[in-house]
Amino acid sequence: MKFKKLVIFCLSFNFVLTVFSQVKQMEIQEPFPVSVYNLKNGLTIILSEDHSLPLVTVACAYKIGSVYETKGKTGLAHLLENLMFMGSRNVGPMQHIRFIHRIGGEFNAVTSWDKTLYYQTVPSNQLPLVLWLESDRMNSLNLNYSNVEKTKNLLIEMSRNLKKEDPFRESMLEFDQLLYPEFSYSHPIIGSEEDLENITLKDVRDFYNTYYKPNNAVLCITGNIDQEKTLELVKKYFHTIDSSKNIPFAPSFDGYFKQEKHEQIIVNKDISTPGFRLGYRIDFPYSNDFYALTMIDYLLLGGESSRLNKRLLKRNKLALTLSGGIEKRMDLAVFKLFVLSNNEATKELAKKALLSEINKLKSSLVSNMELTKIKNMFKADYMENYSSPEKKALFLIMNYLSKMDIRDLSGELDHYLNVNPSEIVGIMNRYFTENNVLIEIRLK
Amino acid sequence: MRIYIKKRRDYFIFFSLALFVFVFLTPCAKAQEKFRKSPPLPFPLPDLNIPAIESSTLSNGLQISVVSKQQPFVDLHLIIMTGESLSPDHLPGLASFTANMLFKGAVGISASQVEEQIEYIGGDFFVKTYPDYSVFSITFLKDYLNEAVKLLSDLLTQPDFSKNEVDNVKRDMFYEIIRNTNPEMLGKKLLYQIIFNDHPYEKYMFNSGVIKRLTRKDLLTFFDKFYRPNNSKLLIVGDISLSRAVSTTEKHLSHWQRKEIETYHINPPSAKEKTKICFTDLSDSEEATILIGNFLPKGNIEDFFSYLVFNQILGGSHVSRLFMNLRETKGYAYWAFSNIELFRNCMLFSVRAKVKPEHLYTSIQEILKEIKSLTENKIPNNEIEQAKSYLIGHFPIQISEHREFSLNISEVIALGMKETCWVDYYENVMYINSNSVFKTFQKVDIFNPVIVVVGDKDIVLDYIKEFEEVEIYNNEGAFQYKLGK
Repeated sequence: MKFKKLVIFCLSFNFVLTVFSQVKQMEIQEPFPVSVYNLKNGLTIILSEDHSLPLVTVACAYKIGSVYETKGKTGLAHLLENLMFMGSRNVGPMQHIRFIHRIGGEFNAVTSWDKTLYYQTVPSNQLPLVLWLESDRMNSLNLNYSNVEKTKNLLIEMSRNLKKEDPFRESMLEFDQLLYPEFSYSHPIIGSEEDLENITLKDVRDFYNTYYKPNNAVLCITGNIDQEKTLELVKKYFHTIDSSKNIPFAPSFDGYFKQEKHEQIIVNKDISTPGFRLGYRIDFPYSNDFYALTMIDYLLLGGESSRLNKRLLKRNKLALTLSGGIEKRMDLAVFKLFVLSNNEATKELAKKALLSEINKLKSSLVSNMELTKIKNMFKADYMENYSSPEKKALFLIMNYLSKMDIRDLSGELDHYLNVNPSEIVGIMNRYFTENNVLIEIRLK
Repeated sequence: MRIYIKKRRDYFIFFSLALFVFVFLTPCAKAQEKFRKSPPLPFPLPDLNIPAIESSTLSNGLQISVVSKQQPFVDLHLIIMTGESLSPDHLPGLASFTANMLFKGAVGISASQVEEQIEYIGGDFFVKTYPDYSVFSITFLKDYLNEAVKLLSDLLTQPDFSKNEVDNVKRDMFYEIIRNTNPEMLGKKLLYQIIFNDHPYEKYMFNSGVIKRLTRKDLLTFFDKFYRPNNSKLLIVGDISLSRAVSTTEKHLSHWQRKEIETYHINPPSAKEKTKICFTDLSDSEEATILIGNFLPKGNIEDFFSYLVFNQILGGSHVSRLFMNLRETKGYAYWAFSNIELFRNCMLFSVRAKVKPEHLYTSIQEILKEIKSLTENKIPNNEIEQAKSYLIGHFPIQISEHREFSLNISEVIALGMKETCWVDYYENVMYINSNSVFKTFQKVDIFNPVIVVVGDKDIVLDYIKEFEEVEIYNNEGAFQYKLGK
């Protein structure tokens, strides 16, 4: 009798362990249903069901990007992104890609400032295959001298080609160094050629063993899934992967993101087109001011009918190209503008026209008609972010890894849509003043 | 160590310990779990449920088609059933020019006001002209259907075509053509020119030289002749019913006047009887770009899906024969793919590859060998099944973006394809087997294709000399001379 009881006790305990080895962290319904769970080893799982088509997206993000890199080791995060396709204990080199292609799926990987992201969209009946592939490379990546050297050489070649193809790249990098206060924020994601040359197999192994751990990862699955069955599958493939106790804290900028004026001329022999770059340091992403700043981005640069597009490109034809807008790098944000003109005279006129448009926004209220237009444009772009399972997965991961609480997604769109004309004037006067924030690079 | 078990109580302790070890310590074991060693089997294939196309026709002949689908946007496509093939012979490009002018204003509305109105409804738009039709697509927030259709009505019924915008559009079209030095585009242009020689589709890829000949008068004539409701179809995809779509379009588009339109019959192009090799120079190009093409007859639905399976095996993806052979095995190419393009009464089958110049000749031979082998012999079943699995898996991904979804339907409507091609996609693919592909290609002759090579003449010509005869063209498609072996 006692024996039977003990067996029942042990089996029940095992069941309890199974159930509680994934803990539901939160659930939201708007703008679409999402549930967040945590496995015992620290892996965060985000699930969102969408049964409109028989497909599923699996996105796996590691909280490691170029901002985490130190001097002399730039490009390490991006190098590892490429090495993640070179095989693991049970999956041969490049087999991950072939498995996905064979079933009609699509995949991609991207390294950004704050994360490295791998995602694939496949027919939903192939979900176990993708979880098998993702868990294998999280668990047991093959890192050897030959793979590392081969991939390093490919990336060095890629960096050289980028330089060749984009004559303005050099000025952009110099501009970033002025605009961002610290090296970790300003260096290019691809890294420097010299650093890539010097990265060793040990560096790569240490990097992988430090950051590619379940408690430093988020797994997001969207599409035609059943939550319970999906959780069981995720648990099967991921819960025995060891977590790490030694993941370094994410870097954050503690200093004062100070506003200053700085002018510099960059002379580049390869550039015959005159132009200029302007940069403004603005409030951090997801702050209260950020909603109005986003609307300002749309007023100045959003679409064909934006103020700068009409003034510089269409009406006065002062610029050949115009680009820019808000750029977020982890906990910092800047507002960039880049203009190329036909000649020195039109370049100067373009700059004056641009600054006059900025001044107009500081002194007069935006009409309701224009505000409705940019809000509708923003609303369309915002909702486009979750218009397919793949976009949903990327949207959820981006927000989960940001400073925002994912529960605030429910009302996030309204924050943007509630911005009023007087707020815009206030924010313009706070961040777009000539004296405190203007970093300029002129190209000659 | 030996374990002696004498009493029932000892059994009890032993099994309890064993169970404890099994339950608590197994997950801690470092040995790899068995399930990690090989890929898991898929679940059963789920159903694909695609909403049906519902249609109605207004009294002026405008066909309204609706696909009801829950989404925050409406994707609206106006299809004018006349494309570049009906531009006058002396004015290729007129259909594209007319299409590009439609969004450039109406009486009382300037081009920039049109852009502003579309952006006001959270929208964007694009225009594209094909040999058989032109399509005008607007995507906007679903609350603004009325505004979108009203704007479309203003553009269609009160066009302005100001001189200023005529000049702007001509300038943009001119620079778009001359700035295009993409080797694939140059090659495609020459391929179309040669393959559709003396056929109305030849006008699809026109040169910059014709732009200056296009006038406002030509534009007005073309517009008056073809931009009529009885020569148009309107597709609306979104959270909307057919009855609402009909009542909104009736309100704004019923006064769009119909006009009898002459019926033009375009014969399918005849298959090439002799392989032709053409070259065009692109200085400083380090690689050689190959394009190989020939026609496929339209055939029935089984033929169509046989073509798709054949194309998938040959060059539809990174695991197809061309990519695996030319890039992965032989290392000749950077990439190699094949494609099937649909027209109203034929299809164009083409291969495109970027190769190392020294492997140009052998790459072309390998491509031709692969085509021959797939069409002359029965394809092994495992390859057929693998291709079908890819097509079935990829189709829902291909239509997962709302814009792609609606564009696919607009193509079905514009080319007069059967709706079953679309809604019964899975069944159609599953039906294909080795025999059906073999049977289809018994009726087809694609062995005398047009071969186009784009590259730097100083590098590539040495390698292309291995062919018996090569025709040399300039970037504008003008024949220069013949090169013999």
